[in-house]
Amino acid sequence: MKNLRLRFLFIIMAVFLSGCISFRIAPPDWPDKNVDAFLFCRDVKEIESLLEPVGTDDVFSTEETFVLAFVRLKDVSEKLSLRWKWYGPQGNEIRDTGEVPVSDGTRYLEAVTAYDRIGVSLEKTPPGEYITVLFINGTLSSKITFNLR
Amino acid sequence: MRKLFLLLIGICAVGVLILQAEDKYLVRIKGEFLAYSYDLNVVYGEMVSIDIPGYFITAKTLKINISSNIYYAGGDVVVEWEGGKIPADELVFDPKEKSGTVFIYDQTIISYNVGKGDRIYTAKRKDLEKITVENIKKSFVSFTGRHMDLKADLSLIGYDITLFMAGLRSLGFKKHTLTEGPKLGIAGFTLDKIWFSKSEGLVTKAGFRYEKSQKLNSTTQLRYEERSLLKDNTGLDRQFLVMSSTTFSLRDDMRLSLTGNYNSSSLWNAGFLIDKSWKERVQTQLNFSYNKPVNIDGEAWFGLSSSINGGKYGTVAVSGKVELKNQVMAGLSYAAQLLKNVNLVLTGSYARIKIGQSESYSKLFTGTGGLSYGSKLFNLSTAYSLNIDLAGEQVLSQPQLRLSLNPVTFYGGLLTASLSNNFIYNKLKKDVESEDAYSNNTSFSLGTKAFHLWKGMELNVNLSLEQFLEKEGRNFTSGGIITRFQQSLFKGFQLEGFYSYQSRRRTRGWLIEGTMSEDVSLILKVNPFDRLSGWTSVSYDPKNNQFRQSYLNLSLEFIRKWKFHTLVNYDFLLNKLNNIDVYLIREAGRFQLRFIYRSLSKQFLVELVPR
Repeated sequence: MKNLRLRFLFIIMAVFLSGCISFRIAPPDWPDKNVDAFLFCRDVKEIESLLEPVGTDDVFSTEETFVLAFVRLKDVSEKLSLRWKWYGPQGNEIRDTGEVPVSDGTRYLEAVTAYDRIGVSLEKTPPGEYITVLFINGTLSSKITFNLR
Repeated sequence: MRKLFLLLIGICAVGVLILQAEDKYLVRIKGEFLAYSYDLNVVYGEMVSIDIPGYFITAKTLKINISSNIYYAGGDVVVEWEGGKIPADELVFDPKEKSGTVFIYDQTIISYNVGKGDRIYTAKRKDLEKITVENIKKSFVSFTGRHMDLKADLSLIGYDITLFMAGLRSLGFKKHTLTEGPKLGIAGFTLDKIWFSKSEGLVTKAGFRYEKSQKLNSTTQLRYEERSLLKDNTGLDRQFLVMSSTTFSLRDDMRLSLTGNYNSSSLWNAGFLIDKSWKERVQTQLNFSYNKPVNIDGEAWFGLSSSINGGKYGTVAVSGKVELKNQVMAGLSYAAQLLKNVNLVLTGSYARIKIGQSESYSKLFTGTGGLSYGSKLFNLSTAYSLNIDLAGEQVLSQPQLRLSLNPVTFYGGLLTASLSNNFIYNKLKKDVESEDAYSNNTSFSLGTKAFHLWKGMELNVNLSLEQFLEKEGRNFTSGGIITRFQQSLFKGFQLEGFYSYQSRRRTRGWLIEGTMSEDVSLILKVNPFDRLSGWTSVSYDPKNNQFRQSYLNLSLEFIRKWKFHTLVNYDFLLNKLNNIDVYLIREAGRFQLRFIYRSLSKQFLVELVPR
């Protein structure tokens, strides 16, 4: 009798749980992560045919020469173009690279590195918060900001 | 028993219906890929459509930080509403306010407000930067799916959702509450704990919680123990416990509660309660409960209680309970503030209770009265209690007087003293015989504040004295001194020491006998950097020239999110390690996964504990 009760209760619990638990759901695939890094740095160095950022930061001085917006993409297999847009403290565009082709989609690239840069000086680039936007294939992908002092 | 099963079926059916029900949503999100991290309380989506009643948004990526209330859509954003449509690069919005700001990166950064108000919505970098596929994938608990609804209470419901534990695919849920709203706690089905131990076997704790618009609050918990896996199991192969509690708020001034507990060893109880407030000053409760212990008859109680708050005239509470087998309990109390700092409490109760399984009843009357006065300098209270056993014809009366001086400081706070005295008198009357007893206890303490002797060195001393007197003459006087010092050694290392001397002298007529004890303890605390902390201690008995106990407590985060923790106790008297506890802890945001070994009980445990 006791076993019968136990079985009965397990059936009830199974009915209860069947309302919320399923073993047949196919989850969506985790997306490929294209943009592995998008950051500011002072310089880049080449290591094994790829670029590495040097002096990464988000605060720069007008006494420095350049601010670089570095991007590292991974698992690139489709046709890909990049575009950097730079905006000053007043929200006005100070540089637009236009579309920069990176891959024609004919071969798989494990990693792609690239950068764009602006020259900084007290006369041309006043202190304040700057925004850099990265477009991939014409669609906004990432946005980062840095402070110029 | 049949009724209980019907009750369980009812609870389950309600649970299923609740789960299947489609509630109103604040935001409905559908996408090619949606992920939620329980650790971080964030949502990430790709190729999404966002439905906020009145607005429809599509975007390439979606990032929601539920904790900081940030909603961000980026890449090929299109916002549509009745009579309007705007394409943009980014949208930051507030679904509760049904408003947001779109940004277009053109020759300048152009921003438009959508919805009500002129507020410009922006997303801070720190709120969004952790919302990445990688971070969600690395979360200890995460979910992925294609459909999620965010409710007004900020609980997130996922449909056809898959659970990932430490990145590994686990169960799938047709509908599951992924997050907790700030007011609700965890809603939906939760797996609270799973562990295995040599004494209990495989143990699972799970729960189901539901709350709706502060009208309905329901919690059901299940604990299941599978002991058939144990090699030397002599008891039941398995055992389970179901506990359920549901509260309905019928109106602002009335609520109804139902509770039920069942243990598979044939032990169960159920309760029903209605609580009603009448103009805030009067509160009434009507309750019914049934309790079925193992192997003896159950008891069914009906009760009514009420309290009347008469403001400056005091509060009166009355309660009564009746049981089907002629058992009765009743109580009456009155509490009031008579004058400034003077309080009065009177209580009376009557109980007619069955003695075990016999047909006899005990009849007890208890009455207490208390009057207390409190001031800045001292507190004085007097109380009288009377216990009458109407069946056994015994009467116990007990007046008492308590006086305590509030701590007094001298010499600019250097010394603090306190004094208290308790006097209790007992009189027990049985038939024609009566006997009485009394006792008086006086205690005094004097403490110093910490002296700074030199750089990094602190010292303080506490003295205590106690005198106990009683009618039987088992009087004693005790006194003691505790000295404590604290010395900073170097960064992250601190040494603490205690010296305690306690003496107890018993006086009986001309005989004086007594004992004394001494204890010296040293504790070394270490915290040289964030990842390492702990302490070790050793105690020594100077009187017997012997070490007593030593403890070690050490915690080390050896790699990111993995912590090693140990507790060790060595007994010098037995000359052996008494106990070693070893913990290996994986921190996972709002979860901890703990691997535990306890030498004393020879247990190995694996615990998954929500924090």
